[in-house]
Amino acid sequence: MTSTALLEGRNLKKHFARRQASFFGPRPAPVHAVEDMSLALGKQETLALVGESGCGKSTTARMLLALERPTSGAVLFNGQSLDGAGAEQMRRYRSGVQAVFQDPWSSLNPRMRVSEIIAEPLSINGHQPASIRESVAQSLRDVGLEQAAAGNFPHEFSGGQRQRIAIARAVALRPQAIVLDEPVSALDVSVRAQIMNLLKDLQASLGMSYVLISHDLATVRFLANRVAVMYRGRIVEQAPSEALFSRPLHPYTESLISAARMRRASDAQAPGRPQPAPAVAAEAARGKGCPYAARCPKAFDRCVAEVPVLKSVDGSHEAACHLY
Amino acid sequence: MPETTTSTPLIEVRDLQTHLFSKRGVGRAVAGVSFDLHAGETLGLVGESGCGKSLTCLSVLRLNPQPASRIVGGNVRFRGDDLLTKSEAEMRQYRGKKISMILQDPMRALNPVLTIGDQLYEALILHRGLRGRELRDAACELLERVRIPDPAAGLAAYPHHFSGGMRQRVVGAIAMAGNPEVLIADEPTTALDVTVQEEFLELLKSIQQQDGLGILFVTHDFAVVARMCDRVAVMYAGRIVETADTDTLFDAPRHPYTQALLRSVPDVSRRDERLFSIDGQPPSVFAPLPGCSFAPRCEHATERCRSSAPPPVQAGGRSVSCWLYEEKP
Repeated sequence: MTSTALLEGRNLKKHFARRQASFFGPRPAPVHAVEDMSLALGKQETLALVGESGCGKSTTARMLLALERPTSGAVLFNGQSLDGAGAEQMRRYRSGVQAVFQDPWSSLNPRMRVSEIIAEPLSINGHQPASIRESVAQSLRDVGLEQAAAGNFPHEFSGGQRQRIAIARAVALRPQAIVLDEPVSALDVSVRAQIMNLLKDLQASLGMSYVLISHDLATVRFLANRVAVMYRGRIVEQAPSEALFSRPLHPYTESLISAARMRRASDAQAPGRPQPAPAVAAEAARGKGCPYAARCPKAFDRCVAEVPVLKSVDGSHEAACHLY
Repeated sequence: MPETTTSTPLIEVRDLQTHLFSKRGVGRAVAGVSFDLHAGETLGLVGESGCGKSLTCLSVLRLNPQPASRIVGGNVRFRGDDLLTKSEAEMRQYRGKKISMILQDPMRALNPVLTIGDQLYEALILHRGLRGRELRDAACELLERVRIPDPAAGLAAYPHHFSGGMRQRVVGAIAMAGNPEVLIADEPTTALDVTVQEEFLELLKSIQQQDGLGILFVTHDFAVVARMCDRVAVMYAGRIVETADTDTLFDAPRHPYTQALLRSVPDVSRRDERLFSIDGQPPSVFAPLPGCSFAPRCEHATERCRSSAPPPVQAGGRSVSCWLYEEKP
């Protein structure tokens, strides 16, 4: 994997300093948003980062996009570290890795026409006006928008169409990878399906890789080849998508998948959320050991004493859990 | 509407119409909505954004934004009392007391500069006239009911001390302060994480079982509908196009819109190669169509669908507004 990785994060850490309550007060401990994450994105692959809000998935995405500097660790693009990269390398990186964000209402400049929005990355990268016009037209075709859309402003479009515009801008430079940060969560069900199909088609026709940030497991199962589940800034399980969904190893992954499953009220009532043994929970509250121990129904002594490391359980199926 | 229960419904809405008034003209945002809600029952109101589901809820309590919108027709009855003819002062006897509401975003529903206690006290003073020791005890009891650990400390906390899930539970506690008979929950879990959502839904269910609360549950999420609701009403472009028991609706949806919507939901239990998607978009509320509003996107649409709107057809406890089912018994 490492030899062919297009985009790689190596031992990424991100701590955010907190402001002192008062000048003389104690310095508060920094927030550990991401703790030692390593991940690699292969060519034409979709790697999904899943987890609940605050688990560090968006911070990871921002580090991969070089919008946030890691506290330690490095982001590598085509095997070269971005740390201390020159202007030329950064330019190549920025045109090679694009982003689509969650909210198409705030991610498009309301004062720019669609053609200007899509052309902006092209002109920054020094394309000639004639080729820009052609690329804009091609991008609109790629995402299934009419050419007439080019002259309009974002507010004239619906949510789904705006997300198409954001995708058109992202693919205009023919990037090698796109970081998709919750690309469909702001959209309605019927439109969501259209955009998800479009993302899949574009990947096949343009040969791009995706990093998909999502909290919705159904979206992930549809789009991703590989899934990394995050909890409190760490990857707790990583596996090829089908292996993860058919046989989740980590108790946290299990609880996520079962919460996302369509379940009828008339089905046998699920037993209340299983809780860890009280003694284990009390110990876990002290914060040593596995971060999930306090919520884990399967937690035992070792879980509160020692932080589990991510290791291979079954080939490429990795989990950070003392059960394995 | 034929019902399995013989009791009078808590809430009866008949042909409710709420129009929007803007520079673009008159928008028929709620265009003739009818439903019943019984005690102990959860009725789901599902639909995509802009279909009028939130405005329907607000109209029931006459909290629809004014003068931007106005209820122009229909009836809303609570235990037989027509709410649309009540004065503002009389309405206050219903809002929060008999019918309360939980909104989508717990971050914005709470006042950030007041403690949780203050916000609970306000509701308790208004609805139950409590004071002093009793007031404090009642507030603690409410927080306990929504499973806030250490309720006494919770009273002194500010909303920002709490996580999203806890905040939504506080909103739930405030909604329960007046011992309401009906709870309108407008997308109460959309802003929450899945596992937190799970906890909140379970909490709502248990409160409902204790109190026999009738819940009108607005959502766009079918997974939540499947779990929470006894019956479902599907809304499209300001109208309810289909009403049925939850199981019936999922097993045998009738309206082409319901069918298409259910097919387009990705399922975490299997991997789809391709998702079914509905082409096109709902019509604008400012340019209503003469016929069925789903006709332009419907694969079964005929000339008749485009020219006249289908009335609801009742059959076996369910109701469908579609010309396809006209002759069915």
